[in-house]
Order: sequence, then C-alpha cells, then structure tokens
Amino acid sequence: MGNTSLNSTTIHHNVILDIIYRMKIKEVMTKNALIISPDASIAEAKLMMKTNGVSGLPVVKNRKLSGIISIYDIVECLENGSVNDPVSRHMTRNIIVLEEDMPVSFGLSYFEKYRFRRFPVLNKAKELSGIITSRDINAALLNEINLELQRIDKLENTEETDSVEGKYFKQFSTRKYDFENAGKTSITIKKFLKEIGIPQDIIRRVSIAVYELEINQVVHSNGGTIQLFIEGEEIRIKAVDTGPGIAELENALTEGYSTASEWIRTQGFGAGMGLPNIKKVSDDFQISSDLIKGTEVIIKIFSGKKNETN
Amino acid sequence: MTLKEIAEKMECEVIHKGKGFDTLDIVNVTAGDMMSEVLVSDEENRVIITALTTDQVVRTADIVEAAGIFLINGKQPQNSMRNLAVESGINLFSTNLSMFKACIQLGKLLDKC
Repeated sequence: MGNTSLNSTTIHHNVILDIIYRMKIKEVMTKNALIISPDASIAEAKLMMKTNGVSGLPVVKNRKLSGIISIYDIVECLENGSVNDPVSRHMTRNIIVLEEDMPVSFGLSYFEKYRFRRFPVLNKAKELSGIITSRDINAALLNEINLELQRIDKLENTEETDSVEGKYFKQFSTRKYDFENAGKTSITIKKFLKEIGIPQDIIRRVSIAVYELEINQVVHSNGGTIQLFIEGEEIRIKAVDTGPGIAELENALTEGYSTASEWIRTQGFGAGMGLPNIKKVSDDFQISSDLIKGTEVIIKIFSGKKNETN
Repeated sequence: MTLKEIAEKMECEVIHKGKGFDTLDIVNVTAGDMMSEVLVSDEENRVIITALTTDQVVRTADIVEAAGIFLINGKQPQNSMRNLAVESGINLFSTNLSMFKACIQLGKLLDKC
C-alpha cells in the first residue's frame, strides 16, 4: 500500500524554506561593517554610532573580533560617568557569532534563540567578515521571494493562436494550495471557446475537465501547467504537474476514493470525484503518474461528436 | 419564475442582483456542498443552494451556467466570493433557512413538490 496523504506534500517544497536553506549568511550580511578599536573611548563609540545610525559596533583589533559594544553599554557608561574609558572595558566579550557559510535558516534560529539584535559573522580564518541583523535577513528574503515569484509568473499564460489554420494553443499554470485562483483557467478557456463558436455542451465538458484538473494540481501537487490545444474538431487538454505523483492510480480513478484533507473538503472538493468526473466528460482519457516526477493527464474532447458515456 | 419573484416570496436577502435577475425563468435547483457533484449535474436555468461561501461556488456556477446561488443557514459570502459574483454577473442570496427548508420552499415555488 502506498502512502499519498496530503501531509507528505505539506512538508514538500515550500518556496520560503527553500530560500532560507539555500541562501548563505554571506549573501545577506552587511559586508565592510563599521568597526571600532578596543582602545577607542566610549565617547568615540557613541559618536560613531550616532553618525552612522547604528546601535552596536563590533570591536576589532588586528582583524580579530574581541567583543561588541552596544548602545546599552554606552547608556550605562553615561550613567556611571565613564565615557572616557576604553571600549574594551565595557564591551560584551561573551559573544555569539555566525559563520559566513552557514545557511540563512541558521541565522534566523539564532535571532530566535538569543535575544541579540545583531551577530558578527566570521570567515574561515575566524576574522570578522561582516555583521548581520534581522533587517538584513528580511530585506534579502523579500528580494529573493520577489525574484522567485517573477520566475513563477514567467511560466504563466502563454498564448499562441493560428486562427487561419483553425489551430489554437494556450498555456496556464497553477500553484500549490492557490485555491483563490483555482478555476480561473477553466473560466478563461470557457470564454475563449465561446468566442470561437464551440457548441455549448462541448464547452461545458471542457470546462468541467479543466476545472477538476486545476483543482487536482492545486490540492495534490506542487503546481503545474494546463495546456489547451485545438486542431480542427479535436480539443486536447494536457495537464502536467511537478509531483508528487499518485501512489494508487486505480483507486484515484474510482469514484469516492480521496486522499484530500478535511480542509480541502471545506472548500467543496475532495469527494473523490475529480478524476472520475474528468474521465466521464472526455472522449479520450490518458493518465500516467510517477511518484517523484508527477502526473500527466491528456484528454481529448471532439467538438463535432457527442459524448456517448454522458 | 424569475429570481426577482423568488426573492420576494422566499425568506431571503438579496446580496447581489446579477444577470437575468428579473428576466430569466428559473426552473431547476441543484443543492449541495460538493462542487465536484454540482459540476457534473446537467440542468438548465437553475440556482444552486449551498452552505459553502467560497469563490469556488461562483466559479462552479459560472461553468454550469447556474443563474444564482442561495447561501443557507444565514451564511454571508466571503468578500472574495461576493466580488467574484459581481464580476461574473451571478445572482447571490442569503437565507436563514436550513438546506432542507430552503429546498422545500424553492421546490414549492417552482412546482417541484
């Protein structure tokens, strides 16, 4: 017996998790961070922080990190009247550092674990190579997420039409758990078929098939594409997802069998009707599924032909 | 019977007046919360009765060419559902009746029982 519960897909590729494991601290940190010598005075440190708008400085001598002086240390010195003391006397010596080759996820866990606002970052030679704040991580993450979304968007909605030959091609994409947009492709295709004069009952069958294919990709896969090809009387729909595939294909084709979670059911789906519905409205139905690579469904509906099984 | 007449005779609130509100002759009803089942039901000039308040109900209605949606048990549509109904020209209602009673009332109005 296979194991295709939805739980296994939940922990599958999550874009943000991917990013925080993939990105290194050195790509995110502030390089050439401001530093101060242990021999400088507290007053000098205060001035440097004020001028540069920072709330802490790594204390470095001969490229080696010896401590951190923060605005809190300085406030204390102001209270005690020790602003002319050297930084080395009041800095925090017991410091937690990150290494530049660690993944960003490590940095995030440090911010969670220790209540520091910044961590010095060391290179392999144990020299200070930068400093990292949660703001650095936020900015880098937002930027990376943006790039990722742009990459995903590029996949979307390509159209090629060759109306002279009566040939059409359209491509749409779906995203994992994107219920908000599931069904849009079906509505778009429905409108288009209406425009090119496909009979109403054919449109209905194509729309149902596309809708269920979309829902399947959103619910069960990491996302995929839906392609529409029209050539003469043949309307062909190809739905390809990026996995995980279906463990028990026989069962998945049986009405009422479902691996969907309770949450999916609250959305009005997951009754085990998806694939059987698609099969029912198609004149030709092909499915292949690989647990790792994913699932491919190709259906054909002939616009001049009645569906005998319906 | 038009949706306008139904709205007057049935205990319900009109949330959105869409296409065919006072012109289309409603003759059928599909009731259910499983959109996959609603999708493959084939009836013309109908309304859908459901407890679901998501966008998917409007998309399903659009695909099966249902003219209206009745939300039962006093449910209000989610904002995105309401917006999508406006965009798609689907008539949207809310009734305090239960699924069973809503079906009976509509059934009587449409001479189905």
